[in-house]
Amino acid sequence: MKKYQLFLIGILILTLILAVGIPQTGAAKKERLEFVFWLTSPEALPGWQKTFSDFAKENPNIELVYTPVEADTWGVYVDKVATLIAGGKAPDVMWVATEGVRLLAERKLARPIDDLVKRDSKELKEYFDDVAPSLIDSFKVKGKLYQLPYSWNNMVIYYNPKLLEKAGLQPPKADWTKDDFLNYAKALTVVKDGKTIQYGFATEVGYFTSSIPWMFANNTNLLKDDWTASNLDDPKVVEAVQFVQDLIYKYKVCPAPAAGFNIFNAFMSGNVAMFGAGRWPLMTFLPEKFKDFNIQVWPKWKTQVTEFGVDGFPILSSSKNVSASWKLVKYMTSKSVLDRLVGSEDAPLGNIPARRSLATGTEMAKIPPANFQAFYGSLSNAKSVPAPAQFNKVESIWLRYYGLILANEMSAAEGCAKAHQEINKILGK
Amino acid sequence: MNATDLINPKEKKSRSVQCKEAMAGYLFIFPTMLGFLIFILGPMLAAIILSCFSWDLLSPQESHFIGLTNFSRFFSDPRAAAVYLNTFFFVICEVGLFISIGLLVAMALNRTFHPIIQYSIKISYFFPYVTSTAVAAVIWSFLFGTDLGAVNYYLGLLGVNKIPWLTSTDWAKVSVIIVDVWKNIGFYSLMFLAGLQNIPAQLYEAANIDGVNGWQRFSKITLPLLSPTVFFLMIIGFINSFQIFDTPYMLTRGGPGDATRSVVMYIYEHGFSFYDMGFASAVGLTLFVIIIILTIIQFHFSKNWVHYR
Repeated sequence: MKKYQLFLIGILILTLILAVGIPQTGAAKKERLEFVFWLTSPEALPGWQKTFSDFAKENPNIELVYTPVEADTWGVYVDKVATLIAGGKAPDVMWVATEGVRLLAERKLARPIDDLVKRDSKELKEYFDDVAPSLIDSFKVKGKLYQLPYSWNNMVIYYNPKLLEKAGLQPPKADWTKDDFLNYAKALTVVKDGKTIQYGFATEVGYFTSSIPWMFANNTNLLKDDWTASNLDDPKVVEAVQFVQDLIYKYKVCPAPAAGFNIFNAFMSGNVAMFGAGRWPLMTFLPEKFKDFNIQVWPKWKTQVTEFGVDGFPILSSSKNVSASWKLVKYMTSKSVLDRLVGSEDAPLGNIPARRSLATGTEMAKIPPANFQAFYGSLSNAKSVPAPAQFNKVESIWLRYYGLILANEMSAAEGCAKAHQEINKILGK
Repeated sequence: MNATDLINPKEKKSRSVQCKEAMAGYLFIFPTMLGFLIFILGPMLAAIILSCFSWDLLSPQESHFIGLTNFSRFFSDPRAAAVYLNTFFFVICEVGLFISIGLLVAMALNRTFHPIIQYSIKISYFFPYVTSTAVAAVIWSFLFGTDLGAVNYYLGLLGVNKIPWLTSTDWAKVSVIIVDVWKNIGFYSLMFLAGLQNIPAQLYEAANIDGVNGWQRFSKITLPLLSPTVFFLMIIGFINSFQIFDTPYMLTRGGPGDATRSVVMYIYEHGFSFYDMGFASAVGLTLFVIIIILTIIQFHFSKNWVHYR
């Protein structure tokens, strides 16, 4: 036989061995558990790995295989996981936020956990006593609970106390109004030689981060309360959107938002005095040793309802390891794990722990912002971000028109009217 | 003695050798063919089949045949015309700029410079081509900031009013073209440079002796002999520009509205954000057909102006 023929046969045998694998004998079979989560930044990975290794020590019979997924937003993360599921590699447990809960529930991709919660009710009592009911209720779809809250975020206003002081302003109080906010924004906008060198406020073309908070404050919503139809024909919605457009073009206190505009960098460099966000800016500010910030609840308009989004770990219906999956879910919502979510100045994290005792505790007080109570305190008057099963389509339609409105290429009324028609078509109305 | 023994033994031996050589050849091209079947032909056939199905990425078990409904749905979508018009606009502008600027840069590089200067210029033009689009888009989005961006700052020093590079439906298209051309011009200028350096110097020497001017040298010698390169780059430019995705996605996310949304972005949106794989496949097929038709047209008309030596 020629040498090259022997070589080719050798390659073929090696390929077959690698494909089939050499069977292992003798070792005890572990229960394999696959977990997928959103890796918000590479710096967050060591924290996750510590959590997983502690879980493995407590559960030596479970082999936890984890897959971190990098993405800019929840939507992109869910898209990537959807591709995994479509490719037949559905995990047992995954990290999902409000935006994906109804999608998984209504397509029966996630498994209700009411039976498991009832079975372990004694063990979970202290958890349920420590988590705000509004967070838990947001994970109920048609009366069934699909996941336990792990962490969450709301929208608050960040402000630079030094810039406020320079403008002769006192830090805003919790009961500040929309008109107070506008006055602050005007006072904090600095124009020099015809150019604006400092803006009072900055926003972005965002669903959760820009449009919904103002709608909630104006006692309205993008969708009807049951999320089955568009509410964009409500004049209060148009009024809220018009206000955001006016901040940019009428009052000129806000730069026109562009896709790549980095609000955090502009805030740190003193070009922007206020902006809206949850807890996530800490992951940018604290590593840069930037601490000139504090927060206040969203200003009151017709109401002072706060928007929030929650996340947790649903067990997928395709999982063959429900018992091991449930152990992981309970472990991930335990005090020791959620305690890590508080983070530190050196290793800040961007979510608020679901447990009240941790989110309002002494460890949280050690990390900026000083007014951290505004995070959990706002839950007493808070509503979930509207997230029907068709969230991706609803968000996409809304952001197309909201982008044109904030670019001043469409009026608020026309944009809302057109989005209203398209969203209702998607929701089957 | 049988019939086979009557066959010329040399011929008999060469058939056996030919067989072995053919076998070896097939074995060597087997990995590439496997890759072609798995990654190109297979997905193409799958897309053709999927385009006739209502196929949900998350619930494939509920898929069913719907014939040409996906296509009729696409043609009745008012956004379809917008995304195709955007894409055609990008194609025409970008290919024109790739060819014209690429040729100018190549001709400038083809002059006799000190090797260090020449290599430095080549590297600076080619560097954007090897840079990650995501990184480039982040930097350009800073530069293009309406109020705080460097471009408007320097334009302001020249007395030009602020341009809403990324927040205006018209200017956002221009921004995408600027970034995409900046990113890819290195490739085109390098191809043109190779083509220019293949033109025999004797032709220019003869032309100089005949007293031709610069424009005549360019139009009668350079351009005709460079026509195969121009044709190749036009084909590549058209095909790549029709599939533009990463630059508008990273720079503007297709906005404001649908102002910079290309066909491929529309396909991605429907396939991976809305999980409607059947519809996305149908749109992909329309793009495939358009690219094929335009390529055939270009090949047909190339007989009139492409001169192969």
